[in-house]
Amino acid sequence: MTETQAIQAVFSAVVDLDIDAVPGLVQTALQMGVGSQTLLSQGLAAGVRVVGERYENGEYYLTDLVLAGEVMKAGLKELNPTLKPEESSLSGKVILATVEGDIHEIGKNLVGVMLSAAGFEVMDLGVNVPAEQIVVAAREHRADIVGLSVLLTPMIGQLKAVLDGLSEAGLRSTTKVVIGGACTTPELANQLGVDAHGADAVAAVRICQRLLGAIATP
Amino acid sequence: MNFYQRTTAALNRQVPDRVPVFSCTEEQNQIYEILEQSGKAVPLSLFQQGISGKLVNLLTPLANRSGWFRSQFENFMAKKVQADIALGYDCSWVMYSAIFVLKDNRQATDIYGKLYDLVADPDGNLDTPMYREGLLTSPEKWDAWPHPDPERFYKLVQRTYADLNKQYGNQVYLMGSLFSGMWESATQVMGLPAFSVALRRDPAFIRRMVAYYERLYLATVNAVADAGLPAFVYSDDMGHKSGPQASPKVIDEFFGNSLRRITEEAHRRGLKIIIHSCGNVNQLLDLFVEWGFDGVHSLEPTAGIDLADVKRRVGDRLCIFGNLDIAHVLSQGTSTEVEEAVLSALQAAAHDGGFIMAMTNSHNAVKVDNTRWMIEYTHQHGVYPLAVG
Repeated sequence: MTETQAIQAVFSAVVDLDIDAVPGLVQTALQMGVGSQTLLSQGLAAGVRVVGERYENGEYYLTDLVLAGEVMKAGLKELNPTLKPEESSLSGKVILATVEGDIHEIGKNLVGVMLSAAGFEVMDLGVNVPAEQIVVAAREHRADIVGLSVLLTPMIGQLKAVLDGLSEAGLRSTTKVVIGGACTTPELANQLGVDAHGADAVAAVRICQRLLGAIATP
Repeated sequence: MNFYQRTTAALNRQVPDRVPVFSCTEEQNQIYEILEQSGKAVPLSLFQQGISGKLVNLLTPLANRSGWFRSQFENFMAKKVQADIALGYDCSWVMYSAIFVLKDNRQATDIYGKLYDLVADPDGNLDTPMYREGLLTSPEKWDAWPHPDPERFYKLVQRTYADLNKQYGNQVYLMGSLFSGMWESATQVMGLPAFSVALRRDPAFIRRMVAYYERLYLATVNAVADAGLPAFVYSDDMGHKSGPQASPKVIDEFFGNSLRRITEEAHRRGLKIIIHSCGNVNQLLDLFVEWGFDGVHSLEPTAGIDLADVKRRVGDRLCIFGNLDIAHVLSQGTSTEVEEAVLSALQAAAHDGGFIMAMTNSHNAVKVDNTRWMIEYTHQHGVYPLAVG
């Protein structure tokens, strides 16, 4: 087996969601001398990106996307000890939360899976999170992006509370804010003055990359 | 026609005198507001602060052993039905929700193995516990959990519904139900990540788990039938914002046969059986028919459901319940917006009967005034032959 084939094997196992095969394949590739960063970007992360595309195309479903997150974790468990600290979070730090008064988490969790796969460091604060807690976490972790999920219009006020809190803490100029969830729209994003609206988890990755200048604005 | 004949006609996909209205409301703040009994609600602070909070912690084992905590939920089910009658609903989905066990003054578990936070509603009162996580993240943990014996569970459910039927069955069409369907239970007791892994690694375990939930459901369906109720709502959120949570093929493979046996048992016992699922269920509609359901509820517009399309696809085989939006229309909308939403739903799905007006879900942000408007505008515009559509 060549190094290219070893990377390809990891990539294919991720795409096939073969959680039991991935750790061994990662170890094999490492033993063959494949670089950790190469294995991360061309094997694990590239595989999860394809899973995301298949999800967008309707070939894969939510449970598959969630399983892809577990496959990624299983691979990273083998890979992490060999990654240099600066290599483990290449894309930026993102804080995710479902705002206070709302308990819906599936969409937010998927965004977390896809962002982690894309190399972002994700801190998920959970559901029903008060605005103050989100602001404190953004400050403490020096978050590049805060991603807020909301289902119902009565909770839109909570988005405003987070934005006000970030402004008061002097963080608004350095922290981008992205919103998503059933009642959110690009118009609402404009109205509130947030940086972007994400329609789904796969789009959220593109948005976060664009916001941080990793890819060109379309 | 009375409420019973009207609802029965719609469930049989016939044309009643007017479109019936269905309640799925189970929010304490709204129910006490409707009953004008705001003072009866329990403030969350009483549970969690000061001496009373310490007392709750101390008395938790007693509250569970004596059945006090369970009885609070059973009493609440009666309040819910009273509120539905007071508002003028034709049919009331009353879920058996006495499944919680107090852990301490901050959290509760349920009979399935899920952990919940005790939370406040907008008025600061104790609300329905909020799901936090599954406690049974492995087959070993699931096997070790003290799952309720279906036969014993049957007795609790039957007694509760028999009491409700005796008191209110002549005032509203009662639909029995059980908190948490098989998909929800399986995914939530494990958490979606562990469940997704188990689907791949250990399908035999998933089948074993589903087989138990089927037994619990069959017992509940029989309890509802023996209590004399006419219908059962199988509540199981299989959808999310943009589609089913798993491929329809996988859901059918693992849950389909159990669902077929549950609907068969319901029909054998003379019950109508309706499926409730939040989210985008477009890809599941044909399965709902194949599994044997008589009606479908929720059909959330915010999840991309087009009611007219649902009517076109399955309206000849399912009674359509829907689908007033709670994300805005019923939580913040004006009277005009509610009227427009009622007219739009009638136009999309009420022609030829087989339609029941409903909000998509229960949520504590829904306003009682908006709920009243939904009922009033359905009474006004939903008389057959319809002026709209």
